[in-house]
Amino acid sequence: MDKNYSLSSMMRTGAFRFNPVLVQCVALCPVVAATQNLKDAFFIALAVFAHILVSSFAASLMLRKVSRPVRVAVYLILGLLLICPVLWLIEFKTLINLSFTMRVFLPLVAINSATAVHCETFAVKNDVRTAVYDALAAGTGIGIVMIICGALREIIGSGSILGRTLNFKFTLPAMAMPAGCLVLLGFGAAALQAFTAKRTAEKPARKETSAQPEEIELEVDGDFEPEQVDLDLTIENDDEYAYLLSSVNELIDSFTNKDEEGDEE
Amino acid sequence: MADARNGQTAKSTKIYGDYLLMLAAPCALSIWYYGAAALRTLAVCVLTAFVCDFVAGIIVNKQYYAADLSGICTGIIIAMMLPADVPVYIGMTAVSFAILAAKIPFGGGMRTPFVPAAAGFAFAAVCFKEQIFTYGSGRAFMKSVSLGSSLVSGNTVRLTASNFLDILTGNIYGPMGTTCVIAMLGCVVFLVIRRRQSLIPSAGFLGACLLVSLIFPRSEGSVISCAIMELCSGSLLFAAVFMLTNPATMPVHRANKVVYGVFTGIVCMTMRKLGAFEEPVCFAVLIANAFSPLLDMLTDRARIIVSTRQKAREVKANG
Repeated sequence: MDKNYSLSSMMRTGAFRFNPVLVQCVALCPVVAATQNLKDAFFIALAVFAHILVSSFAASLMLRKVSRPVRVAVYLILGLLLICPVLWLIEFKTLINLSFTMRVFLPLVAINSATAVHCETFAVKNDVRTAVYDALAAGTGIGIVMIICGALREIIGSGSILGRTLNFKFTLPAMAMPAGCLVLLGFGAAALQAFTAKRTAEKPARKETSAQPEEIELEVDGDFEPEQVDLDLTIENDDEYAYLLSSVNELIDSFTNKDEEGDEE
Repeated sequence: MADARNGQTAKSTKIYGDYLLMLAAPCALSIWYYGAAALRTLAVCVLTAFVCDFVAGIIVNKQYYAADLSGICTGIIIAMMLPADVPVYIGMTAVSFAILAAKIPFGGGMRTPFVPAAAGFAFAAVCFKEQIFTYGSGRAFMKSVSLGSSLVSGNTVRLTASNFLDILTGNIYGPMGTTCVIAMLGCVVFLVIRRRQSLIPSAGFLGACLLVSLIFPRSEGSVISCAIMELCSGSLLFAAVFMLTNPATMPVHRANKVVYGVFTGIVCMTMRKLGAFEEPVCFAVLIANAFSPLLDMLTDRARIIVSTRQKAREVKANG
């Protein structure tokens, strides 16, 4: 198996560096609408995790040769088959009291965009184990964001955690509303981007002291046409990836600086 | 890069310097009417704005420029829209949200897509509705009732010379610095001299508000009295002068500026009639801000399509 598709590497990239919610901006609806408190956030995260895992497994195992419209319908049916019985079990066979929001949004998890994106862009193009790893990473990434958002919104918005009052002098009910969650997600995305940028900038600098990674050759087919370039890149390991990313960032920065200077003129 | 930044700061200083000059009148009047309470609220908001700006600058690795007056301006605008005796933490929360969530993440100064003061006030209004719309101490001609709340309950005021003068001078219950009509008219005159173009959205906004209040009066008395009360109540005039004239958030094209103002006015009056808040002008401004770039984009596309068709026609005609 390819080294880049190891579980740890995929967890690092899928759950953190390219977090589905904070970077790819998918599954925003359940995060914003259904994570008003920690308990709801936990259940919704669990549902999303299970749905994405089962759908990715099925997509990779059985749906490769099926046309895309049929595949998307299958994801929906799979989601409903998975979530409706669980919802019924929770409501009628346990003592867990689900809120009204959860009763609305839990079945809607069956049509969340994260599942469709991950199944369509990854699972149907890769083997079962890789697809399951990707689903685990994506589900973990979404779950972590949901649980953090749920906890923060409950603490700041209602002054309680898991229903227990924390006796704050004042609370900010706006944070328990969807707008407040979007603000939190914005700050979360900024923090993640800053963290990733710092890590990416640090890696090539550390390499300078040891062995430099080999230069990556960009093979350009035919005459150089900036809009029609076919790049053939083979990235062997994480270090090469980081080096390439930092080079591209530098290139983009240089262009941006030129643009700004041009604007000024 | 440095020159560009200096250019931005100079532009920001010029525009927000004008705003600070204009804000001097409402500030002085609020201190005259409400005394130490107004001064305390004002000081808290300005200090919070300065601290948030400074700290956020450190966090995002951006040097703080004292000449960039946008933060201070935001602090004063929010203070003017609050009741004089509002608890300190409410002013601090509103200003912190304005600076940290609506200004700094977008680059600050002339780059903000939303008016930070409107965002801060809207956030505080959602969080502390009771405290924000309950007006306490000060001179008043109606006991504990602002013009906005009497309109909400469907009452109107019979306009006599004395109470009309009270409305003009701001001697009524309401936010501490937004009720004086004469001060607002003075600010409009200042803007006419300094930046005439920026008043286009305000004209559209006030025109739309006047029209809606004449067609759908909220009280059963005289339609004219009701329209005057609508225009003079709450922060409507204040928002027209200090929020809709913000060059960072208004559209570029002149026709779009009118549409932007009219849209804000219609949304504001609809929310006043049907919404849960006594003064929803900040929400209306934020909604209009969201559509402002779209208006310009649509206009630009329409212009490109028209010019392309014209060129195609010319080419066809020339053979």
